[in-house]
Amino acid sequence: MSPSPEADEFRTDEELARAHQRGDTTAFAALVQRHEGRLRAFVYGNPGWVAAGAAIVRHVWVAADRGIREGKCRGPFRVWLFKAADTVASKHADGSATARSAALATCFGRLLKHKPKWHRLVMWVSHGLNRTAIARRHRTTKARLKERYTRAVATVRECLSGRSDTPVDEANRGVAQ
Amino acid sequence: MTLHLERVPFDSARLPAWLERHLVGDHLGELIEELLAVRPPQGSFDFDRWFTAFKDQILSAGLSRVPRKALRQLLAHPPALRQLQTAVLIGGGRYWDEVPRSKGFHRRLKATCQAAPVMAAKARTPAPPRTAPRPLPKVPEPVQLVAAPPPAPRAERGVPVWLVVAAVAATVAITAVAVVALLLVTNRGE
Repeated sequence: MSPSPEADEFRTDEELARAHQRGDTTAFAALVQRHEGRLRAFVYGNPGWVAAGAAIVRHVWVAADRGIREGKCRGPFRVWLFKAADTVASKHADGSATARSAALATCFGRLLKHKPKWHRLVMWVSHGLNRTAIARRHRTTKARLKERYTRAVATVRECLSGRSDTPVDEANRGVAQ
Repeated sequence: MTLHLERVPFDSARLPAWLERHLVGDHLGELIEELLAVRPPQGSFDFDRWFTAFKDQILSAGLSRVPRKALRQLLAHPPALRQLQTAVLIGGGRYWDEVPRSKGFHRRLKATCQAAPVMAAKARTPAPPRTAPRPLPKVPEPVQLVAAPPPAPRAERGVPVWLVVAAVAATVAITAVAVVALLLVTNRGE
């Protein structure tokens, strides 16, 4: 008889893996429950894997199931799982720049060309620079600065969604630099 | 298209919490893409050195105690965010499991948690054949190989030549004697 899910909580990864090897039906589900959140973050944290993320996550668990049953799981389970993800991703993701990253480069490139000050503002804010210092440099208030930032990023978003051909269209109608 | 830079907290005191959510969420890859598009990293960045200085604090208590300047270094070198994420996901303590995630993340997580064991079990069982099993090709009955019979001895194969010659010679001789005798009888009668 399989232990209850509550009992699974107190078993280590290694114990659950051994139980799965012996045919305990709940052990593998408990391992998935325990590690799926971090695995998901790990897979979707690599820009080159995002497009194939769902397939990678799916195949990692299939590979993990096989690996545990064949006794290939050695060392800390999570480290082994992430290594399996690396292996699976090398088969399913080509690692090249996605269409999204190409579109982002185009839109931010247009912002830089047509509205360099807005681009600089986006860069400073997204890089976590001190907002008070930025406002002082722009000779404006923090509230006004936030408004500009919001408009600049919204312009890029519109460019990405194809609603605006160039960011400058929106920018020319917007707040003065 | 979602743009994560739209949600950058304007209050820098909220920056660590915002970054933590990205490190354990499922959009860090997209955020890195955006940061790289704004500006490619300038110069090199030694992540290991950076991480060594804050390792214990980060793994046990998150980014709240990391100086803002150090966080800015990370944001200016987006690939380092991925390195930090890997370190946190592998070695991070309970604190990182309690970082709030979005509702969408929880929804996707629940779906995978239910599906993964089923998929693994399905992959384990061999797939059934698509059509009726194809009949095996007919194998011809094995031919029994029998060794060729040894050649028959010469005597069994026929009458020896010398016997034939002798018989012919005897026949000729008897015929000749009979002819001569018949001629003699005929001459006496005349």
